[in-house]
Amino acid sequence: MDIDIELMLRTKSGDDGAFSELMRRHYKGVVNYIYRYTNLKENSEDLAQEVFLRIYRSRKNYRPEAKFSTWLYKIATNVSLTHVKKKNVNLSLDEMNDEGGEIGDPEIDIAADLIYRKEIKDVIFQAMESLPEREKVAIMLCKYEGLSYEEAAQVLECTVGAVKSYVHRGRMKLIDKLKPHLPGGGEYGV
Amino acid sequence: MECSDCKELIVSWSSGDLPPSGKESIEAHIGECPECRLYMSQSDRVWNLLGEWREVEPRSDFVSCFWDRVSKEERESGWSVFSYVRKLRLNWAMAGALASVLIVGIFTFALFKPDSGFETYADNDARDEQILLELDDATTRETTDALSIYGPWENTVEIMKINGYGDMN
Ligand SMILES: [Zn+2]
Repeated sequence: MDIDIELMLRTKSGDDGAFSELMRRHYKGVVNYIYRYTNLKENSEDLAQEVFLRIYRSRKNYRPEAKFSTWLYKIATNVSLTHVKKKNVNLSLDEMNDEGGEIGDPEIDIAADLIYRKEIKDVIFQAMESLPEREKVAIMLCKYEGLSYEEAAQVLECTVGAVKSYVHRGRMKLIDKLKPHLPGGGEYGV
Repeated sequence: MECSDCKELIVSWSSGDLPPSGKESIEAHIGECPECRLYMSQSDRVWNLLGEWREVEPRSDFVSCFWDRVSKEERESGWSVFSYVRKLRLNWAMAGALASVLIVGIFTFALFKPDSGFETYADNDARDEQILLELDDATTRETTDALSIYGPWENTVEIMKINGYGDMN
């Protein structure tokens, strides 16, 4: 049996330790997914807790019908989307620079590298933000969270073909938006 | 092939969704078209650029913070019982009447309840006190008797009187 499903079934039967283990397996991915979705680091941890809280609250009704991770990312997408809509997060670039990034690691705290990472993070976030919701989610799930097209299809409640189409269209738009930010301006060929 | 069609194929190819025949079409086109050749390079490099948005390291106490939050919510849900009562919107007269009924009930219960607890306590208490007094008297008497072997004590009679033995002599 899939380890996540086994842990979730143990949680259902009252084993909170199993749920702790489940969180340890997934919280980093969920925090980063929400962080990339909202571009707000502090909120991403609170929202990730909200995701796990929703799962924990509904543990009694859990049925192992789908892969746990697809259920997890479906809830994470809903929580992120609700947050973005509710807060109407329209931060300026300066405000965004105050949030997130590589924190507390002196090894990589090299000014130039840090500035580059913040800039590129914000550029990518804005490019992603400009995509239709489903294209954005499809790319985030497949590119960053490593979900297969099949798993992303379960999260988005659509066909595998539709996911491929979302990723394809999203990629084409991202190429247009991000090619000016490629090292060297993206003006050289193969 | 049009450049727009070629670009579509390039992205499909980058995603791994292109049959070998499609790849041959791309190669034939980009051999003659610098624009699509550039696009092919950009497609992969943009995909790699997305990877530059590095992960953040969440706080290590995420799991314990989660359980703190669960405990907090459970405590608050305890308070929600009171909130529920408040939501019943009982007026003050009704609340007063309910309180009166409760108080009368408690007194009635106390009146009719067979109550031997105090008597039992008092009896036991008196008995214990008597035992302690007797023990104390016996000890004093023994001490006085023991001391008398060293000769007549001036205050022996006084001591015995104090302890109620004066009449015995
Ligand atoms: Zn062309």
